Amino acid sequence: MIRFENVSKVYEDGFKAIDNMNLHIKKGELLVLIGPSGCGKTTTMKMINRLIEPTEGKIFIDNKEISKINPVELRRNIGYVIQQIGLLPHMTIGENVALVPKLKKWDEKKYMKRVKELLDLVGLEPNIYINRYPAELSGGQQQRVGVIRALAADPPIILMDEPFSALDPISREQLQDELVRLQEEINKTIVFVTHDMDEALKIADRICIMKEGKIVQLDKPEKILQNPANDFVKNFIGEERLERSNVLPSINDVLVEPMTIEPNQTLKNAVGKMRKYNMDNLIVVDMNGNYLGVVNIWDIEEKFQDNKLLVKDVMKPIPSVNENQNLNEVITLMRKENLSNVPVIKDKGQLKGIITHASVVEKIVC
Amino acid sequence: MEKIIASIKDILVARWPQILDGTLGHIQLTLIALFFAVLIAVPLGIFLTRHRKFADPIIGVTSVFQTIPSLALLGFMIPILGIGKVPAVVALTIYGLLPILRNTYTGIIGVDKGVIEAGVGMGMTSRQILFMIEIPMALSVIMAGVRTASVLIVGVGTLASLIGAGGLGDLIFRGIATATTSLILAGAVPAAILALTFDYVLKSIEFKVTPRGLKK
Ligand SMILES: Nc1ncnc2c1ncn2[C@@H]1O[C@H](COP(=O)(O)OP(=O)(O)OP(=O)(O)O)[C@@H](O)[C@H]1O
Ligand SMILES: [Mg+2]
Repeated sequence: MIRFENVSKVYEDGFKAIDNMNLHIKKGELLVLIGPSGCGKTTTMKMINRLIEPTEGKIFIDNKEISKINPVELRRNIGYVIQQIGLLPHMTIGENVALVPKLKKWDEKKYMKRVKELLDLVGLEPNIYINRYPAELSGGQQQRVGVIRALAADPPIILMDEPFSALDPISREQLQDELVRLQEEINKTIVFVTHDMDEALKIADRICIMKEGKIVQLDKPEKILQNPANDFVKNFIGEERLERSNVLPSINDVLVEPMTIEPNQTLKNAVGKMRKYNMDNLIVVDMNGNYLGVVNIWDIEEKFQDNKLLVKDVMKPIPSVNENQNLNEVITLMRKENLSNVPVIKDKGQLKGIITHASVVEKIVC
Repeated sequence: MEKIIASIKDILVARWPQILDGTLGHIQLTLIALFFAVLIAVPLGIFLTRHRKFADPIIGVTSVFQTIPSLALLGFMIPILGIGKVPAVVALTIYGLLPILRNTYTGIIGVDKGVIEAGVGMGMTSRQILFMIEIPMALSVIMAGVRTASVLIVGVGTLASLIGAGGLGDLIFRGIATATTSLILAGAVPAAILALTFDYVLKSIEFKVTPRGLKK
């Protein structure tokens, strides 16, 4: 959706704020940019709506190079929430929210309806608030208006630069929850800048950790917690959070080596293997190691008399999990489906290992 | 004291037509000069916010105008434009420029950067930024400049009678020439009232045009 290709930004005074950045933001994801002050988060974000022009490299939105798009047009299709909120103090809340739709020449009925919907969405009763002025709202309410103003014209992309940083912890938590809920509902591509690691972990689909104009690590929150790329990331996350996250081991820690069999083997061979290893089931994989299903000793027993049958005829598919899922989800699945073991699959479909009750219990208890 | 009041009363009655005439002439002079001062200073001020390197020199030049004694400035007009209303209006306009220019410039420069960035970021053109954000938000500062200018112009306007522009100065100078205190007052008091009235009226206009959200 948004793609940075070898983008660098050198400010007029010669300071290199962004250093050869490559970044791909996927459609519909909430990407959090985080890093110490001055690492280039705001610069990165403002290059997306051309408030800042890169000195080198290209930025694409939906494969269109943005330097070729009229900046005014471009910005009207990108929601923008800034830290200072930036509501126009001389316009009412309604006028503020309706601003971009008006600039885009929507008709009045349509945008008034939209404004009311949005106010409702963030819990501001339209009848009360629509004709108020920004100065007549609390900080948290203003911040909400700042957020819905960015949503008003229904842009596919929304940029948010530390939108909640000025708020008290309670309003901040509330707004984070609202954002997560909104994101599920409206499914926009959101780029969100923050200083606050807890905030990032809470809302992000992926977190991009930056340092001195470079990306240090870009991954899902749980992945970053499990495998911080280096000491900088570790420090940045903080010991405390790492420990908290380590209460549950990762999937990789509870994997055990699976006993496998190929689909064209005879049932006799299967039983032989089970006996040898003292197992009641085997995972069926093809020649390339792709997961196909499971054969169980009870299924074989029923059909053992039939000589013509092979493993592939009696195997059953059982639910499997992806190696990127977290252990919590896996445990939930095992409980719900009452599974004694779950195959773990790599992204390309190959079997990586299995998780059994025993392997989980052993890790968690120790 | 009583004598003065009595003689003022006499003068008021006797000179009523002249006082009225002088006041109307003065209002006219002030309005025209103020109109041109706004017409020049506001766009110039806006221009300077877009080209800040010119701001200091140009505001500097207008400050210099301001430091020229008003009498001297009016005097300068005679060789260039002769006497009468036109040179008076020109001189008064020049006098009114600085407060309006300076307030327009500082008013717009002082508009919250966050609001402007939000505007640009939402895709407003620079015209829209100017008319929908900067001018409305700087309006009270600009109006304060206009008010200062109006008071200045009313005051200096009394001197304009020296170059034949009429107005309340006529009464004052005739009073000085004939050493009639009451005649001087008959010009000076309406002039003072006029200055206060301009200030008041402009203030109410300012209040009217200020949106509720910006009222303190
Ligand atoms: N207009 C400018 N001219 C020169 N240097 C600049 C300019 N704007 C930003 N910088 C520098 O570029 C670097 C990155 O700035 P940026 O605003 O992107 O940081 P940030 O990561 O958003 O920081 P923060 O968390 O403090 O907001 C900083 O070192 C900053 O000093
Ligand atoms: Mg920043």
